[in-house]
Amino acid sequence: MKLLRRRAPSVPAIDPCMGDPLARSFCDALGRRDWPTARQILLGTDHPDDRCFLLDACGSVPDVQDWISTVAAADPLAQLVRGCHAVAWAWQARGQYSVKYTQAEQFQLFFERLRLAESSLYDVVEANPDEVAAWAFLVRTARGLQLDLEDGEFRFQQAISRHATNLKAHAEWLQTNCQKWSGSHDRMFHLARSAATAAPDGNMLHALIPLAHLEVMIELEGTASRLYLARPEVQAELRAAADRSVLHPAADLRPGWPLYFNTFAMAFANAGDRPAAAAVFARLGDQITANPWGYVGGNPAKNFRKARANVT
Amino acid sequence: MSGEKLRTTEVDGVPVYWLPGPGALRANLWFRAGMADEPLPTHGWLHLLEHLALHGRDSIRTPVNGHVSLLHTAFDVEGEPDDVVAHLRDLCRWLSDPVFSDLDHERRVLRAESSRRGGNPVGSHLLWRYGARGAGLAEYDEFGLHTAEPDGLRELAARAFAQGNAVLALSGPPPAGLELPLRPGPRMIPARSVQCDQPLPGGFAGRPTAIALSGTAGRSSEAGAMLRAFERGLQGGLRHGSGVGYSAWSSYELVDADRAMLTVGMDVIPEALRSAVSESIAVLRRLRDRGPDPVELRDDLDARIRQFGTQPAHQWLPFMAARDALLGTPVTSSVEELAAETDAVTAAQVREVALSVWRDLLVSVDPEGAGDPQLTWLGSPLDVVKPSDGRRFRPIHPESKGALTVGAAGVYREAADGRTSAAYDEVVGMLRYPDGGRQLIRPDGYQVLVEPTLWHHGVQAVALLDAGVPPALHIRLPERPKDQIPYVKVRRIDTFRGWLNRPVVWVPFLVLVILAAVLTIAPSEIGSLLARALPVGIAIAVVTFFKQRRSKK
Repeated sequence: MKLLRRRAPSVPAIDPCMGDPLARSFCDALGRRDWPTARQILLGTDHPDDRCFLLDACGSVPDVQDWISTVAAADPLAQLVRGCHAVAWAWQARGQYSVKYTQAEQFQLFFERLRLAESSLYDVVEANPDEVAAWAFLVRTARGLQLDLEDGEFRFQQAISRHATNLKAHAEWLQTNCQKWSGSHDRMFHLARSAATAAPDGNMLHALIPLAHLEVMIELEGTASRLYLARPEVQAELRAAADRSVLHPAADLRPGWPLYFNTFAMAFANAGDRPAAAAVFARLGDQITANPWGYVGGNPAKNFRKARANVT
Repeated sequence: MSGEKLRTTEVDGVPVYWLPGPGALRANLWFRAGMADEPLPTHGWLHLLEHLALHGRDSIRTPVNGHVSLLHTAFDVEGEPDDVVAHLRDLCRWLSDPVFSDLDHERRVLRAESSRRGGNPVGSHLLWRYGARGAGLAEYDEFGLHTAEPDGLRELAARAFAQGNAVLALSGPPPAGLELPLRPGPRMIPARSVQCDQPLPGGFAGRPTAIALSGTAGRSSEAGAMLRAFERGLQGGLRHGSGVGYSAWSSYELVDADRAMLTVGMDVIPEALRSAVSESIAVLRRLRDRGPDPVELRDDLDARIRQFGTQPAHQWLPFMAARDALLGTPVTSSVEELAAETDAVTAAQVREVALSVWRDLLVSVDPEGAGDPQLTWLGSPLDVVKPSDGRRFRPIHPESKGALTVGAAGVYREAADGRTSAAYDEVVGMLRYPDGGRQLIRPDGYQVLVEPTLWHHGVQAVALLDAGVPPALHIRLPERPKDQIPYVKVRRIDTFRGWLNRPVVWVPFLVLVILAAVLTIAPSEIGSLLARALPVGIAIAVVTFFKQRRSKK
């Protein structure tokens, strides 16, 4: 039977390190429990965006929590890894539709891991309030633990008061302000537009604009969802944002850049703006990211492949 | 403010703190021994000694009082200087050489007092935080009233009421002829408080329609300021803001020489229990993240400083000094010093205290309000160990799914209310009822309850426990009322249901019936095949049966 089935075109694999060699080395070191090497890599990564990217990538490494706590007691950097990894670990528990756990148990595990993340990250910011990455990840734990908006905002402000254009803090705070969490479309767009306006040309903060539009799109249903992104004013705003970031000659392609290209690619593809989508896909290559392609359900890689095939 | 400096002197080797002041002379004789120093089987002995020491000494002319706190035992007297001198002399003589002719009477009085005492939220927080040791004992019944005997009490009195373990505080100059004839002996150094090993911030089911939050911090003026800010925040948020609570209260309890447990609480309307948990935690989080409002903090500190001047210093400063001196912490020698310390409190320091409280936050709430995701909800021990060896007992009720294993080193019990275990060498006490009921109390306060009336051969289980737990930890309690002894009534229908729930009973029976049916009605070939397999099947069943039986032993 297998021989009779049509072979599907190859689907690019999702690399949690987004093709970044340093992130790969970092994850590999954590995977083989080589803390001195991982520490050295983290220590050498000064830029808060790069640090956030590394810490996001490490969420994909299994079993880190089994050993990191022993080093975390005496090393604030290990505590940072422990906390950030626990955030991803918590979301894994929430998303595991395994027969091993009931939905109530999944949530119990989700909260348990989030509490671990929260206390680890708070230890980090107490020892070093200038650790922007910890504040950025704390925005996410605040959302998961269902804290008031004021708590998330406090953490966001702490992060951006130290690094005004921090990508992770903005992305997490944007999520918190989404209607599906505890915010509204107005709040979300206010944040996205004010951050994009203040961001310099070439900065990836402009990707908050397509992200916000995608959030509206997934809230809508059927035709309304398809028509929303095709509105001229939405398309114009998407193009303007792309021109100032991913398509800008001085685009700041820091580690983790594919995430922003994928965001624009998906927004343009869904908006039916083929030339813009093709331009972004061309620069992106095969660097597919799980988000935002996973937003619309189904296999993110297949969604990516389908969208790319439609515009190129 | 008085401007007076605290005076110190020494009488019979006992430090004396005092300040000159008008009015009748008030004296407090403090000793550094309290509830936190008592092991569970003797919990209540200090209280008993305090009652015995003051028995028959109270009068209208010279009112006396005594109290045992977590870290101290104190005797108060007020009156004319000569009467105070006579009282202290007689009291010290009794403490040096106690007489126990009134032991049974005072024991009865205290048992009656104990039975009237209701659980208070601070006590339950101490219990959940420290278990059945140290400060956690405050919430326990005084089991020592059942174990007290003259020799043990005499030995305790010699240690607790020794000269080196005493400090006297006076509200006026030491009167002529003052003597404190105590036996020589050293100071009892307060043990460091040790919290139970459990995930915090945590929550537990507490008093109905109420919420209380506690945490620990180093003893300091800023800890007091944080506690007041927390109480105000709760009052402002839950009572005046969302209108779901009544009056907030707070408590500052010393748990060792350096640390205090800070507790705030409030009664809330039943419909708002869940939101009250998250709202009250948000108050603490705000203090932790942003610190107190600076203007409000300043007003609070000023009000506090004004308060120091409202009561004459000679009536409280020497007593505070006596308490601190016994703990080995610096003594505040004037109201001005205290005011300056209070005045220097900063918002950053208060924020630090809030962080410390947050780190080991415990929240108690009506069970209806439990479940907030920010807290780990506590309810059963984490380290349950099932002994690999030991004798297993089955529940008497056929439908009950429980299990009891009594091993050489510990006991394990599994029942509808959860799983617990206790190692004999870690148990802090075992309650023994004459009817056979046993409660093994673990250091963290969790218990293993064994009621012989609920288990097959339960009497043998109890005998094994009695032999396993060291005799010094046995606490023999009086008869329980009949209605408090658990009893299981097994009806025929329960036995039948029990069989149905155990396939090992009915499956072989069913197999035999099927076999018989096949042999009678099936073709002869199948019959002969089955007849050959039957001896093998029976052999397997016999081996399995004996294997199971052996493992049960």
